[in-house]
Amino acid sequence: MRCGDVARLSSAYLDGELDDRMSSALRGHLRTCDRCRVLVEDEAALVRAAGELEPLEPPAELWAAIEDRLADAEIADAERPRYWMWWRAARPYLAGLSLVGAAAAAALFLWQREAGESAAAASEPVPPPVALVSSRSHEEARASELSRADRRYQETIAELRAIVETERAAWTPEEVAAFDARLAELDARIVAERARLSVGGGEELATSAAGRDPLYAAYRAQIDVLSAAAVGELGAR
Amino acid sequence: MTRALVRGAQALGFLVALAGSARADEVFERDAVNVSAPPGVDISRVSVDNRLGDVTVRGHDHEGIVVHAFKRAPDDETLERLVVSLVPEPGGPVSIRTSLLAGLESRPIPAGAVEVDLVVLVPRSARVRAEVWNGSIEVEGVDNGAELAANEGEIDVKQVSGEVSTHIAHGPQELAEIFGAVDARGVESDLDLEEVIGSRLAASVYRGRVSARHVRVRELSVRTIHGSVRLEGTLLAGGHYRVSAYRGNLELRVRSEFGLRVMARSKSGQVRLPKVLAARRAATGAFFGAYGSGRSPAELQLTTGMGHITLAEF
Repeated sequence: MRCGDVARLSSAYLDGELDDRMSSALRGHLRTCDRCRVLVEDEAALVRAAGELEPLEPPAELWAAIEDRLADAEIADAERPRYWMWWRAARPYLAGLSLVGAAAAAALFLWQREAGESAAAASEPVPPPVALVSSRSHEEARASELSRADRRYQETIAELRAIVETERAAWTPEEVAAFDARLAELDARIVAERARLSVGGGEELATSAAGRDPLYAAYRAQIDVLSAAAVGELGAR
Repeated sequence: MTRALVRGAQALGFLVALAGSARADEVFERDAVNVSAPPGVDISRVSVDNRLGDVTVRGHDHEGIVVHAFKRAPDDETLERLVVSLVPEPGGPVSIRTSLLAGLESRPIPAGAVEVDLVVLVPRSARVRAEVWNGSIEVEGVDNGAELAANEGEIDVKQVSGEVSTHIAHGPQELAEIFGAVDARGVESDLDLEEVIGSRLAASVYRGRVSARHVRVRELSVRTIHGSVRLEGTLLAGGHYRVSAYRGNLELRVRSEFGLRVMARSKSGQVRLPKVLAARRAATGAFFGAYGSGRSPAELQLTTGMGHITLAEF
């Protein structure tokens, strides 16, 4: 028995609806899985607490109101025009006919198009095959992808900074200071990673996707902090 | 049903692309490797690093690992340079990595001409770590969590127990039947969550929608900057739930078992709360409401900068 099975069967187990073998298997899983044991104990506590609640009697007027609404609906149906009754009876058959008709029309269209294409192909010369692989090399394409990824992260961070800038006015000085300190830490991490990856000390970065993992992790951490701040979750990170 | 249609369309698209891209000068290879665990050692962790294609990981009821590699290259010499290395570490972890070795020829490899896709079968008890560059990650049927990252592509996780963390810069994510804890993040990503049960759900996207159904966790934090949030689930007694958007609507349908306390604020939009909460508007513009006499009500906080908030009970 796996954790997913316990999550599905726990309610039935607590209600006594599982057979002996399944109950035994579930109890056996709970002996070895702390996470599932906490889940089932929580649910058992809820069931016990619910059983201790006082039963509620619905107000008397509730049933009368339901009866009135049912009666109104039945009277409204009786007062509909005759063509409504015919439409209700014929609707299932019309739906089936529509489906069959649409399938037949599609088949006829495809058959006619294929016949037309065969005739056209027989009279036209075959065009040369189009190259499906780029004329760029694998390395050039990878370098381009890495640059694009880098640029997208930086654009997202710039947009988030602009959003946060408009929200800062409502923060306390302590919140501003804590946020700025955290952001400065992440800025320094990004600068350090870019320096590590820099080719010849310039702006160009080495073209290795795996090599950029720490840089992208730093970008993601900064996006996380800025996103939380943008929606007012200053204590979240 | 929708998911089946999407999968069918994807499979059809793949077949069409494969048929269209097959050329007389492309070569393919399929390899399979079985790795047994050393006596007395359980494979505790499997790391897959494939920057050349897709990764699929499935749990199986055996102690070893099976790796299927599907390689594509423009010629035999380049095919030989596509290497899948498998390194078992002492104590149980196994690392699988793909690489394109440097060649001696002067002619460069055309872009898009090389690809390695991996399908890895692992013991269900192994913790999975997978990373791709531009490709898809699919994980199913493991019981000890997963840590997944992609730059561009898609992430699909199904029937996984434990702690699941994901990150994608661009592309959709689908997580279904997760039992444990979820931490899903994306930059531009639509996130779909279906049946998440356990201790915690944290989700954050910069641009994209978050849609979560059948959620039952004790702690929840869902955040978007540009995008809407739709959430349906059960709020537990004493649980803490926070849903925020900078620019987006929040729509929630929740069941609360033992009382609920709500704070909802939209800087420029409507707030619709159930009448049973008897919500009142404070001077700050936020609405506060509560119901239930339980000692440990669920706490729900909803905020959006530009958008509407709709909370319904069922």
